[in-house]
Amino acid sequence: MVKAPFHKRFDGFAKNYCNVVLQAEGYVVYEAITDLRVTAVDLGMRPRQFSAFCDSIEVEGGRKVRKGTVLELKPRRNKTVYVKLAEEEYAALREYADDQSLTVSGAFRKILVASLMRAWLNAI
Amino acid sequence: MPYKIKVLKDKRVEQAFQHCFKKVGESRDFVVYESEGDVWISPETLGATTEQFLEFYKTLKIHGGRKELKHGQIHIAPARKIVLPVRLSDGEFALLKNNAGDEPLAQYARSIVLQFLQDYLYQKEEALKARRPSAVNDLQ
Repeated sequence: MVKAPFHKRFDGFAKNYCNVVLQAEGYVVYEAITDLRVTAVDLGMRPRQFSAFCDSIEVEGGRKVRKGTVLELKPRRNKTVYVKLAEEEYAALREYADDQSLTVSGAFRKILVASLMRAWLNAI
Repeated sequence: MPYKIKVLKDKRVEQAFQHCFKKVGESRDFVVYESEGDVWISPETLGATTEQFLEFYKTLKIHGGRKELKHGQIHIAPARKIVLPVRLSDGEFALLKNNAGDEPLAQYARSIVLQFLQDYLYQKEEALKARRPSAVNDLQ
């Protein structure tokens, strides 16, 4: 859950990755589906404004990481799916992972989540 | 590793298998084919009755893979010995569950990722091919 002060640009951005749980006066509570990465430029904020905005965001069941003008909101990954692969399938995945500088499991996750999010965005 | 399929010699089988399997060996009674991916065979593919189809299923010998009868079809798949753990958030897991429907989650996830990888590797190979002739031309 992400509780953030209402900000038009952030709201437009967050709605692509989150469900809105509660909209109260001055703040909105989102349920993040997947990782959310937003920059000061995305929100049209100056670094100091962005820093204050990040500080005012509360995250429950996950974490927020701010590196300079980049904010990442990461829901806790507490579910594990075990996927069985043949050697050729693993080799193909490893090739992609090497190209993207990711771990094999990270590469699988990235492809899967991107596909799921595309389907979700098409549905809403 | 590609898996091997040993079947009794039969013209109908040979015709049906020529597009999805590579013939790698032959004896007086048997033919050995090779493949890498999942293959589904239906009675219609072989032009066989249900009894003939079941009989065919029993005579199929797979090395380095497995066979199963599913939804009235024979499913042949390579041995999948590598187990990859994939960690998901509750939201991602719910989306996966919703999209997968009745299909097992791991199987659905694998099919999405393999489809993507097939396209990715094909495009990568095409891009490399497109680059090669120009490099040769540059040298000339």
